[in-house]
Amino acid sequence: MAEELPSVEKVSISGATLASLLQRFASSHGDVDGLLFGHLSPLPPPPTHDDDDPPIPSPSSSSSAAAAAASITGLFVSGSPMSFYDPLGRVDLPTLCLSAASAGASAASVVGWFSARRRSPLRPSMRELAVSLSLSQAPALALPADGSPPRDPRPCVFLLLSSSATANLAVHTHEYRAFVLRPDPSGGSLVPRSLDVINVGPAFRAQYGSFSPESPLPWMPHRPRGAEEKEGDGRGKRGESLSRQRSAAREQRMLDAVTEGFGVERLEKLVGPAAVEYTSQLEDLYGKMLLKLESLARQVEKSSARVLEQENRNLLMRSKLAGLE
Amino acid sequence: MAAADPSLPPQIAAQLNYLLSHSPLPFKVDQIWSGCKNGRFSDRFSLLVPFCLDFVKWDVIYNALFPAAAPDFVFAPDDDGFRPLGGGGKGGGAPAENSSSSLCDWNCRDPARLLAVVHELRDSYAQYQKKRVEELDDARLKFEISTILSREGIEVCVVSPPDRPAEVKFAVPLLDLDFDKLVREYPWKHQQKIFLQVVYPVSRSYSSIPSAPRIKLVSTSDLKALFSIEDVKLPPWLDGMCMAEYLPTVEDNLKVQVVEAVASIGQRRRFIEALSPLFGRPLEADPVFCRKATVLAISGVFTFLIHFSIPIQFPKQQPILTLQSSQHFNSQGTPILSPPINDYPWSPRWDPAKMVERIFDFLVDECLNFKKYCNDAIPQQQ
Repeated sequence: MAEELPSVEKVSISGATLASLLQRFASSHGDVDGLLFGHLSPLPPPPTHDDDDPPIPSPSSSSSAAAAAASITGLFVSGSPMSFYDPLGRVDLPTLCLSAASAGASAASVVGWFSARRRSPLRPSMRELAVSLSLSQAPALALPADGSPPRDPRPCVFLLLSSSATANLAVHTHEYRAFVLRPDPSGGSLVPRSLDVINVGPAFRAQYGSFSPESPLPWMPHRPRGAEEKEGDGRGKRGESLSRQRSAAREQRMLDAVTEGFGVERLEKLVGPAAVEYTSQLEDLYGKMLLKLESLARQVEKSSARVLEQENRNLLMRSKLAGLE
Repeated sequence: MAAADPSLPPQIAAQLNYLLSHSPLPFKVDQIWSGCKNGRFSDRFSLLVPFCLDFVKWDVIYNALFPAAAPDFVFAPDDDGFRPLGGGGKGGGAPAENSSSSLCDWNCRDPARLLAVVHELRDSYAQYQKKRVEELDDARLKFEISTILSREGIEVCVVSPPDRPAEVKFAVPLLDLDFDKLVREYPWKHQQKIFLQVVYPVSRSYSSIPSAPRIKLVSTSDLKALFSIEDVKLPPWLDGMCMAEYLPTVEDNLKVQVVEAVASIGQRRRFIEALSPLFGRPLEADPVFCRKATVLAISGVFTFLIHFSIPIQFPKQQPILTLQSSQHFNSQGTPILSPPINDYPWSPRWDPAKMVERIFDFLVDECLNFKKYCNDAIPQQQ
């Protein structure tokens, strides 16, 4: 059953993702858990020396336990504990898919999960092991590792976080540890792996060099120059469906609203040799950009204040419900 | 065994209190602390689980903000092979369904739930330790396990201290005596038992003669008022012996002594009853094990108390008397006590009335000494 399972040798996480995870944990009132998104990539086979790492004995071939690296690129923080699994640690697939969807990711890109609990030992708990096991055996989540067909037991990365603070709150300690599920005859165990934090800096230049964007861009219909004038009579000629045209027009309107008068034609003038004459226009452009940024910042500020307010209200209600007040 | 911390949410506190007060096993709570940001409510504690005549420490993790959620457990670092939910779970991502079924349909309003879960986990832990011992490559241990492990209530565990070779500890409950029935009057808080603790060194070489195990008798703490385990002399362990041979002799030996100890309660009771004709009704007496009695005595105008402390081996050993003055106080304001007295005439063959009579005669003179002692000891006032 587990012969084809690649053994995850390296786990990496982008600095921003880790920072966001730590921040979510630090600002939460209690324990936090959630899903980790990312991808697996095969590692080149190790040089031919005996590895001290004892792989699962498999009858087929020695290369079956191919090494892989897991990269964590995103996360979903569930609002309440045990949202996508039950007290026995059994993963509830529909909830998991919903959770993933609400984070804008597909359930297929789930590489594992995390659990953050304050002032507790940095060892996987009974339920955490069970959840990891259940997640790796969940059938519906096909993991596009290298274009291979979906496997049944899949690798599962588990990130365990713990934090503590001194009595006067002067020193906060954040600890984290990454684990990888290793199946064995008695089910599976979580073995610790070091966690590489991908960050800005010379050590990660290669990573940036090899970067290829993977996030989906909205589909934009190709418009040849001058298409706008012909739009009116293009309908009958090309025989496009009405709805498609409508949606294209809607997208164009949205795009126009965002550009605020700085259409493609105008921008073209700004970069050509005649740009010198348009200095004032360029300043205008920057001015508008700055204004937009400021209003965005204000919006963010207001909404976070509202979020905080709501969170405090939730906390109060929850305490009342639990009979704490 | 203090009651649960007041800052635990009420439902969690109820479950913990129920566990501490209703379990036949002496669970203990080591520490209670909070995992919340503001630290106002506690929601985690370390539970000391009695196992194999020792305790294992489990961290129980609740969530104060969601007290209705089922707790989670973090086991000791060297028990990472203990996976009660993840053992052998195969199809469909369902971990072992048989274990911890009380977790499955968790109901936070049922205070007995935590007790049920902890007991289930402790049972799986016992199985896990048994498996670990069975996997050891030691011929003698394999033999012992095959012959003895069917005995009810037996527990085994592997002890591997970092600086010493590994050992295997057996905790064998001895005698099928029901102390609840033997001493009916006493509300035993926990199950009372006497265990034989046998510790074998794990030897991997087959040629060498295995060394004898370390043997010790252990009793639950409440039994100490009835029976002194230290006074039992264990038969010697002969070379090449196994537990199945050794246990019957120990048990026979022990049974006689326990029966004697229970019979001794009756003798002590008759002694206390014999006190009243001469000394008057005791002010205070231990009605269960009859180990203590106090009477009030008067000699002239001197009033004092006599405390009788009656040993477990009662008629063989005489009671220890302590006199306490009702009229003399030391500088701290506490009554003056005599040193313990046990050098008065005594014979275990006397009947209780005669014993009391001789003590009375002895005290008629002794109380005068005590009065003098009190007058000397009293702080010189003005």
